[in-house]
Amino acid sequence: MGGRGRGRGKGKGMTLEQLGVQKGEGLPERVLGPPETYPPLEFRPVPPTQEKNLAESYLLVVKKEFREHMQNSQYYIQPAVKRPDIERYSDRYQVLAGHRGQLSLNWSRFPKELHPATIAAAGKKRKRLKVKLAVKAKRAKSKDVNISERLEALEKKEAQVTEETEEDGDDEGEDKVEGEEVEEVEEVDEELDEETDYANNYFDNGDSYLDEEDDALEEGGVY
Amino acid sequence: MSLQLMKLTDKILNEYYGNIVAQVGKMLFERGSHPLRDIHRLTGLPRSKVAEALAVLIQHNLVLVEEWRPNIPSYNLLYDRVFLILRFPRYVFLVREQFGEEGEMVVDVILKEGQATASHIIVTSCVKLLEASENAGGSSITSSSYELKHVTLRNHLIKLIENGFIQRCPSPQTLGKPCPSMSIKEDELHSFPPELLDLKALQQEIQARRAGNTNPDISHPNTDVLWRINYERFHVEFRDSEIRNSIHRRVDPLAGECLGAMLKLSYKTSDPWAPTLNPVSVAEIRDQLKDLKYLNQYLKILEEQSGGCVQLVGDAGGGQYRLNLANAVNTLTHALIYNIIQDRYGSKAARVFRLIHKNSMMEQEQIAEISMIGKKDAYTLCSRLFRDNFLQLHELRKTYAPSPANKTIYLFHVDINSVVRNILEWCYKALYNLIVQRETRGSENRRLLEKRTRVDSIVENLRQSGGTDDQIKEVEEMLSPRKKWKERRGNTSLPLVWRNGRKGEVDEQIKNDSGLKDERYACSAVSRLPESGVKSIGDTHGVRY
Repeated sequence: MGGRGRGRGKGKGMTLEQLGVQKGEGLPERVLGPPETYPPLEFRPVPPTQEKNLAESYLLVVKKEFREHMQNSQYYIQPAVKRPDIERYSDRYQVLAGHRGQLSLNWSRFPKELHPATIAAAGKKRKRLKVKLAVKAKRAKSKDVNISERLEALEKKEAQVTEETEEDGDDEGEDKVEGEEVEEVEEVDEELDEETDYANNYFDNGDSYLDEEDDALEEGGVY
Repeated sequence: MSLQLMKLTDKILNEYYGNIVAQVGKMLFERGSHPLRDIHRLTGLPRSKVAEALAVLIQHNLVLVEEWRPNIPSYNLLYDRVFLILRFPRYVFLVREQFGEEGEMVVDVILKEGQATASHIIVTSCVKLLEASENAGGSSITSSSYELKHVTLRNHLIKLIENGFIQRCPSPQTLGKPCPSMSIKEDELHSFPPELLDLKALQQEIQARRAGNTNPDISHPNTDVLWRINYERFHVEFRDSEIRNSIHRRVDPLAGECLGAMLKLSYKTSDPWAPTLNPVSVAEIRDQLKDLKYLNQYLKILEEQSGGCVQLVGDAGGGQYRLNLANAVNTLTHALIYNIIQDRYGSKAARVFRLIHKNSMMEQEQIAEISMIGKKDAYTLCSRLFRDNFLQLHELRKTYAPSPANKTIYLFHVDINSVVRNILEWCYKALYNLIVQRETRGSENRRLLEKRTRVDSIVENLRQSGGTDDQIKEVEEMLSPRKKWKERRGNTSLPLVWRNGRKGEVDEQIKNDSGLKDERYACSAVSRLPESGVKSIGDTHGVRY
């Protein structure tokens, strides 16, 4: 009802008198812009009581202890440990956010898809698929170079893959081996693709030697 | 469901369960119920981690599993429960007061695990209690008195279950399905069949654990029966204690006891969350209170003073009184709101608000007249309250014709529901701010706090090995006074968080007291909360929108 009225009446809104402001009196300042993030408080808030009564300090202690316990428990899920790209000396002395290990829960009460066994199996299946696709892509890319060598490598790999599908055991080592083999095949590719040595820079034309010696002789010290 | 609540749940999950669980929870909050593959796709986290996060959330009763398509479950976050994590210390405290240390330990273990079997609960709490008593008591404890500890613990557990504080978890009907449907029968919820526990096996495990073997392979017969806390029961207790305290403050301690007795009697025959409970006769009350003098007078005073809580309904058995908890809770809400406004805007504003609340709609001039505040002042106050959504405006037009002779009347009125929702949002925001503040202070002074703990442990060791006082003093002086002051500053944010958490949770609790057709919200007692809660609201910046 108010909305309809406003639209038709071309509402002046409330008249100034209605607003309680007499004519001629100053209006309070207009606010320009969005409200401030920290608006000034009119009444200073009373600070929380300084003396702690027994109940409150007990509750605080319980809360702290609960928080610490939860952060150290198996329920605090941490991201998987990322292996750094290069092995560094300092790794030995840094404490990496540890993998807490498998959650130990009564898995029969949870949906099947959450069980760690199903997740691991599904993960392996996907990895196998990925490698297979990668191999197929590689095959499609370089058909010309050293066919016989490539064929041998691929045959070996496929044999391994079929072996895997039969086994149920620990496949991680083989996955790694597969990964390495794919990489090896790639490396073989690159070198042979060029078919010449121009890619490799064997010759050092010694320009850099002269420059360095000049500088060293002139300055006599680095500041 | 609001932005503030989302940020708050994100923060809480982050603090207690880590970043991954927080991301999963946030995504479920924003988008509702989803199956695993959607969660994996939308959060971008690896599938194994998402599965672990969901398992943790289900274990702690924060996520509900529903069947979305045949054999594909979807997960729904219960965001209210996340907020309840902040109340755990209060639950523990309540149990400690009513059931003692053993009960407290039991509830502590259950809260930390989410759901646990009775054997696990008893074994863990036994071990903890024994360790604690050894640390505290020294060598003067004989082993025989502690041999039966697990029996006392079991009795406490049974008492807690029968009183409704702990309930049985629903169990899957058929095993091995991809999406188990959990259900539980009503009478199984609070009954503890004795064959679940094998006392000898318990004792063996306790001894093995104390000897240092962390994972003894002793099987217990009850691996399928899990227990968890019953949040509703705790909330009933909190609400009752708030009502009793308010009567205690208003009238008399004995009147508070009277009310307590009435509550107890009424719960025997009616559901605690119903708006009005069944009537109780004076004779019963007299029996319960064992002959309190002036009982009749107290009842009369309660009827007048309790704000509609106690109502006389009949004369059978010397008088029939009925408790109307909806009214009680309403009175408490209104009192809290008045206090909040008083602390925020001043006592004049509070007077204006009370006035408008009492008479449902008022015009500008009337307000100024009746409240005896100057016209201009009254207007500024009203508009401030209106801007912050405490008051609402209602236009009345005589005719629709746009002629200047038409006078529109503007009426102010109060909509308590929206006011309460508003205040709840303030609470969430304040809580979030306080947690952030605590974290920043903690991280700034982390070095100091660590130093403090190290000094404490050194002192402890010195004391145990009989070091002299001089050495202790020397060690304590490692922390200069300025550092101590800094450290104390760092530590004070924690009480603030707890305090505001308490206020927020009380508001929440009251909000949950609905269950009435018209959804009246309520709030808690008059004087204590403004001290603790409102101050901390006022103290944090950026609470306003």
